[in-house]
Amino acid sequence: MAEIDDILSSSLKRAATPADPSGVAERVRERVDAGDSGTPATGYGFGSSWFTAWLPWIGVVVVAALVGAAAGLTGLFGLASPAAASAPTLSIDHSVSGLACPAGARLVALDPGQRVLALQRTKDSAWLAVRDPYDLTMTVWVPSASVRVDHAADTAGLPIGGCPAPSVSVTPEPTVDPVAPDAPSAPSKKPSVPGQPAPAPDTTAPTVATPVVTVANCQTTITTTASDDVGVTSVTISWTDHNTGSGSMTFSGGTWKLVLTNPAAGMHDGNTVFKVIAHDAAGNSSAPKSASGSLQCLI
Amino acid sequence: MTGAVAEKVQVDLDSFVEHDYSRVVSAVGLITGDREGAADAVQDALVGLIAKPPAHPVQNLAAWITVVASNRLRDQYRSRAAEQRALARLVPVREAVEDAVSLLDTDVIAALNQLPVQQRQVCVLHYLLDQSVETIAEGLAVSEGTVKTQLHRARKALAARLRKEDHHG
Repeated sequence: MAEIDDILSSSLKRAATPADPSGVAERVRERVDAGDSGTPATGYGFGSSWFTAWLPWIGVVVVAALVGAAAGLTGLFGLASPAAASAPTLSIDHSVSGLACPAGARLVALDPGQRVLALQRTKDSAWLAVRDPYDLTMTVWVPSASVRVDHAADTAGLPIGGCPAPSVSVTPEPTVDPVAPDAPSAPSKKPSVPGQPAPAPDTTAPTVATPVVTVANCQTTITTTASDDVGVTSVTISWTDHNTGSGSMTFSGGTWKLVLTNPAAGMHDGNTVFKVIAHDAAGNSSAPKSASGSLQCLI
Repeated sequence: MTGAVAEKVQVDLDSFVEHDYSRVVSAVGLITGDREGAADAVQDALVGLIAKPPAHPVQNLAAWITVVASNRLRDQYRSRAAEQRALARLVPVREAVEDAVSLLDTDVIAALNQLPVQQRQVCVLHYLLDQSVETIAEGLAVSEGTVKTQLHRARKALAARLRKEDHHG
């Protein structure tokens, strides 16, 4: 095998064609400044070639890690880096969804016995951010109650994190939220004043418009608008038929939008139904609205 | 914005471009067989890293960019048939390579292209970028055993294919 090592090392080095780095840093910065998001480091990477193909091996690693834990050994789980070494490991106790944010959109299903690394916690430690075992460039949130931490004390030292509240929920734009900025606050936003009746809870559900699906080349764009008497905090989206998945839309310029760019999105050609639901801070959700598009990505 | 970029990015972009960019592009080109698309894919991965950095710091930028960029190119081939058609279109590139490297090198690259993409990635990270098993595992947040297994399978398959080439040649 030593011979093959030498052959591979020398052949690959000879075959490698150097690339000119001139101006690359400047071009990268210009693209970032222009709002280009490039190949997402996080996103809808469920179809990642590396990890999808390695899923059976993840199972092997899980077994190895469990055996290591039973034997009182550490370091069997590939925690060589300083950051990884300090990250507490935990086991999924029962089937649970990994969410984009605490109580946010569902991103991935985690199965009992899966081993993951904890990276952050909410202030009350009710939620833990863990590395998505199917796409290690992503972080998902799971309820603390649904996991079994190897050493409980470890998670107390985790940095506190969470998802920032969407700006639209704090300062809703007029095009989305009919409440004028200087109008009296809606009931659920009023501060509690001693001696006065408690404000009525916000029970009004948001509304969401039927989404518009635009397909161009390998890029599928879904847009919609949403409104609420207090403010729309998020619009979640799921898709079915030829493709299956879910995510959250982002708000910009009065419109909620999601762009799925292949290959990062891992979508396949064919008709796909997109369903959107708007949510407000009080937990009310709109009736779903759906639209379909026939995805095409001819390469 | 340059200052903002410097704050957001978890690495020194200038240092990466100066020291690692060229060999990472080479690595992506070897993994995917798409030497022309490799530079674009690497730059896309860099833009993505800066624009939307992952929640967890990237420990091994060369490995991370190599895998993200090669996966991006790889995923562009929607089916094995489409990939074969794309590889066929790359024949002129391979012929050009043949002029510059030995026939053995060409056989090695051809054999490499027959491996599953994850084995190609581990091979190129290890043999071209000279990354140790430990460093690859650390950078990709997988166990060393996983990397060792993939490397062992790749070596075994490559050795078998090269022996076959030798017999036929």
